[in-house]
Amino acid sequence: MAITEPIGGRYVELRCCTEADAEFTRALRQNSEFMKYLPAIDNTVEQQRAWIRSQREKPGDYFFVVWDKAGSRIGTISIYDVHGDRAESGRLAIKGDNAFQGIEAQILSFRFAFGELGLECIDSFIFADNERAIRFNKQFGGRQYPPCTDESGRAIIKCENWREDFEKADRRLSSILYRDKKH
Amino acid sequence: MTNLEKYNNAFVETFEITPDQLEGLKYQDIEAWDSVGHMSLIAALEDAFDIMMDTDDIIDFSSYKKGMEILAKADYGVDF
Repeated sequence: MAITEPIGGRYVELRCCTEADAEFTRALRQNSEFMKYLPAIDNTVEQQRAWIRSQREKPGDYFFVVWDKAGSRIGTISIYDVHGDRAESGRLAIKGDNAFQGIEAQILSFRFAFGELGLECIDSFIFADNERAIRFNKQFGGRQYPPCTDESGRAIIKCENWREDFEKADRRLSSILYRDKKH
Repeated sequence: MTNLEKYNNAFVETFEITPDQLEGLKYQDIEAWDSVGHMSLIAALEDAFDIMMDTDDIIDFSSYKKGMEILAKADYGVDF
């Protein structure tokens, strides 16, 4: 599913993925840094375009490309599998050049989910050895459960980000991200 | 505690590293200094020096050395 207006922040902008993003999104998922923790994709650019076309029509699936303020693509983030008042968050792969870009991308996606979509809880499934992603999720108020095993036998942690927990985290993080600039 | 000791302590405690790792340390050089670690470091430094950092300075704080330059500015007045 695609929205036409970008979701703008101070450091990044989220724009729904289009076919023009096919090469970027495919290359990102084949980047060694992200391949370890995201499901592998092994397709052609044309197949990626076809996937994007299909994704843009899929209800409850919002796939964003993260852009920096200089106009470069720096990653992806997604809210998908919207059902009732819940959805899943993932496809998170951001290579920014400062700490605020990834944090704001997550904030904007969660504000979209809780605000625009009216959801109450966002689930994430993180590989248990992906300590960086686990730490990242926690700072947005994520509640994390003991590991279980996925279908391939890999340990995975379910995280729940509830609206009220995120709102507290948003206030705390926003007090740093959105301070008035002195200059 | 001197300002340098306070500064070093913020890194050592936030990132759980040893002082000999500080020289030349940059953002994303170690796993602990990711975006989450960066926010924690800034919070630790703001507490240690009773300051509130400008967002541009937080973004520019890209290394141990750069951080000292930033904190030494008149805005924060930390003497090292």
